[in-house]
Amino acid sequence: MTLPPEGKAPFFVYEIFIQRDHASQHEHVYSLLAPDDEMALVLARENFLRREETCINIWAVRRDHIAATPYDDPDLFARTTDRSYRNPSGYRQNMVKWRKYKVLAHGGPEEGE
Amino acid sequence: MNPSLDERLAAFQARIDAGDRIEASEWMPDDYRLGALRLIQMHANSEIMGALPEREWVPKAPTLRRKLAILAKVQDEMGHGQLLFRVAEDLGRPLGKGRKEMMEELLSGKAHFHNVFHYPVPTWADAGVIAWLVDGAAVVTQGSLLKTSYAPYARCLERICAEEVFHIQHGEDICLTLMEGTPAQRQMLQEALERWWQPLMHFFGPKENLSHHSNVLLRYRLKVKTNEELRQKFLSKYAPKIQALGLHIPDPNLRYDQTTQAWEYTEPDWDLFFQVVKGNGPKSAERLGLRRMSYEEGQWVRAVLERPLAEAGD
Amino acid sequence: MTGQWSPELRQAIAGFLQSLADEKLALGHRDSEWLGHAPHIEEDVAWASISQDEIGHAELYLQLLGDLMGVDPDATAFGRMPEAWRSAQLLALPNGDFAHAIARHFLYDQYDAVRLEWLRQSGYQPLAEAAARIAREERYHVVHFSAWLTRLATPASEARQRLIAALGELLPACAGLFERTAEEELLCGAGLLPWVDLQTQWLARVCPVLDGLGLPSPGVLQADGSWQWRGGASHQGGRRGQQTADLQALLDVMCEVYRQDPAAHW
Repeated sequence: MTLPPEGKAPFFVYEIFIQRDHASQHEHVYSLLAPDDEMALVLARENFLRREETCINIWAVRRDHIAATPYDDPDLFARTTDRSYRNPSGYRQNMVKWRKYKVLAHGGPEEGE
Repeated sequence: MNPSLDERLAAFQARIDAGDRIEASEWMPDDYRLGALRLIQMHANSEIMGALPEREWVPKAPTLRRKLAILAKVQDEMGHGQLLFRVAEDLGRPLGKGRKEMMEELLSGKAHFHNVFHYPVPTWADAGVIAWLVDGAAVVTQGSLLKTSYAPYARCLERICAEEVFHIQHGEDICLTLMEGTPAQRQMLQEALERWWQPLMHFFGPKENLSHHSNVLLRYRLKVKTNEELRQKFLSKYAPKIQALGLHIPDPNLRYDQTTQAWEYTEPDWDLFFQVVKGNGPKSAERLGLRRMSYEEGQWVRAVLERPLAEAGD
Repeated sequence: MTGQWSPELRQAIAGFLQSLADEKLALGHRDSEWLGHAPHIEEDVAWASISQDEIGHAELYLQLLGDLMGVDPDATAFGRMPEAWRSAQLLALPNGDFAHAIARHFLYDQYDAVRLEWLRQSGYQPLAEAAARIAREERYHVVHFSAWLTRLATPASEARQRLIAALGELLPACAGLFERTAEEELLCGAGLLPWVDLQTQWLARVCPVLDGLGLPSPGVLQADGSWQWRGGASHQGGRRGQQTADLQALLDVMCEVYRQDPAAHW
């Protein structure tokens, strides 16, 4: 997809990411048109944060600087073989094995330790 | 092995029928893109055009709280327009349609906006009726559009619906206060309701058999409820409340039929509706003129922000 | 604490608060006239927040006034005639083009920044606390208007010409911001506010920016590095109640519905 043939363009598409607090990652919220990075940040603050009670940081990234996978290649994300060896759910038989050892519920070693 | 166009269309329709959602960068049939674009562009236009009648009442709002509330409401309408134009711009990009082209379509009358925003707002009570019932009607429509098949539209509608909640409450507050006020205030509200009743009935559009465009939208699940279903929902939600307040709805045929489980009403004048939407409403020319004036006046501002396209890639 | 004050001092504080509120309300009202007409949709949304901030600040000052004198904020906002207003005339000037709007807000927000620093030192606690809260919200305004000023000042552009024309009207009108009123003198004399030269502080903020952009500036750089008022003043007397037809026209619109029935609830 290319831009239409024009002499000039005043605006780029910027994707905006906001970080609510230090426990949170930056989260993608919508996009806006802005002439440059500084304006993108200035405009993002009111376009997308006017209802947010807390926010500590904003990222603005030009869309043409983002690399993305295509939607029409879903196999790119396929996981079809058993992966239980790397999930806690793959180790439920431990519970059965522990019962032989008549371990007290408190004061003894915890499961999985 | 490249699928034929027919195979692609069939596969696409199958995804739609299965309730799957479509993203901006995916392949889509031309009529899906055009149908979605027309729907979303009209919605975007309606937000920024709807701001114009409402903004008339910000300077005149009679208390500080009302002034701030309407200001925040109009801000939201412009903000919703912003979100929707972004969605429309991404959809229109392969067609060479950006914000500039869409603005030109609006100003030339080629692209439309909702009927309700072509009408005058002569009194404070009209501002209350708009915030309560016009926004109420919009929420009914937008709520059902949350299930739209076009994913970017669905996502921005989530935010729009959340923000609309206070609009209706603000509108209710104005109307409740007027009804509890002086006889002059109650009369102002009654007269406003009488002005807005037919535009509200028009708002949802004609029954489906009159609109080809609407049928395309339903087939592709761009919208999932028919115009009549939405109008019925609006009436069920609001007619009892309006009457409970002591207001008189100016339609002698309006009644709920228990047998058919539907509201009966005087059929609105659909010729008038199409005339208004095409730009022949009482305030259409004036408001488009205002929009054109501010767009042209803003040209020197946009000009100073421009840079050559060659730079745009760096 | 307030019980120890003389009626004259209480009246002076009330008049001072009134002036603070009036300027914010006039400016916020003018700002709201841009709704739907900004040159860029995203900017329209940002502008609406700035307008809400200014009106919200007016509301805060009016609440302080209400607490002190027992007057209703809405009645104070909507019920007075122009001659009872104490805002500098700059704020009621009708909106010009976008360059005019940006320039006026840039100049006034820089003034507000130095004034709020001053107010935060007030011995009248509610005012000091309100000033601290308002100052935090004003931070975004300074960032926003400085960003626009820079862009509109782009060399060889129509925007720059319009900005220069706007500054031509606005800079002399800024003189009205520095008129010291009798109320202010009473408050400083009573130790509720420190004596301060806001004009010098304001010049130190705006002159480097305007000079740096090659734009008309209200000050001349002195040998010792300070800035002195260049001269030329217009639109004075607002703080002492001398208002023009601009404020009359503003209030005729703002109070239109209220005046239909001042006793009614809206």
